[in-house]
Amino acid sequence: MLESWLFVSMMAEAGPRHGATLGGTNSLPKPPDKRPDDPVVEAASTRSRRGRPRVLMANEPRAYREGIAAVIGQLRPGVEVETVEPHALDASIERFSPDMVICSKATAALKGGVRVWVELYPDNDASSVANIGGRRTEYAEIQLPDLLSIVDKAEELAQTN
Amino acid sequence: MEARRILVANELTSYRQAIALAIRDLRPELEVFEAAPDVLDGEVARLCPDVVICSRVTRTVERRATNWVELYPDCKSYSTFSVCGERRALEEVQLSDLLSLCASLP
Repeated sequence: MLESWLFVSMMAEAGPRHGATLGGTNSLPKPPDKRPDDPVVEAASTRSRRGRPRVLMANEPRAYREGIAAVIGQLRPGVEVETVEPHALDASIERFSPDMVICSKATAALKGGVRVWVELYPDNDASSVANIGGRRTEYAEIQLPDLLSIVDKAEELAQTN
Repeated sequence: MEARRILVANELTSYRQAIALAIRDLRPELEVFEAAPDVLDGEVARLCPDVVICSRVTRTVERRATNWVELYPDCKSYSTFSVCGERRALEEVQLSDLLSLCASLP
């Protein structure tokens, strides 16, 4: 399933082409329990605008963007993930209306239009910044589980609006 | 036949974790290891991986790994693939390039 998703995602992304074990998925945060029989949660889910929460990936370089997108797609199957080139970020925000963006450089359009975003390694060093509903968090060395937790928070925010 | 070993040791933790996990999920027949760049040489000696993916190839990697990828050195857009001693540079490497290399090991 991941493979087919990956190829669909890669087909969707425009752009010309030029020539010790991982901690394990058990160490990654589990998706939040949605308890579908809970009427409050169910109502929030129904309110969710177009269905699945959306994550837009626009960080560079490309293989890392695709790698993180693949992992989110695999571990958070309820989330819709799209990858775009960084230069297409602002236009993609307008078109895709993401609930969360991961990028290398936050733009004014991003800060003004998306509630949850991560500026991932903006200076090509280990530091990153996350904004979750107006609350800013700095990470000295962000981990993949941190990103997944932020995806979960974006999903929660999307469902309560 | 023993599983092929892939050592992922590129810089920036979440990138390294994502690449390692993606390869593991998409190529479950492979054995995927992850190591920080500062222990790369030791892990190459210990694991004898079939492929090393790193941000800066070392002399140990060049000498001991049959196949390696120097992925985005200094965060540049190009990467170098060395497959059985034959090197080629690639611009804008995609995840599928890494998967293809791992899947097509001789």
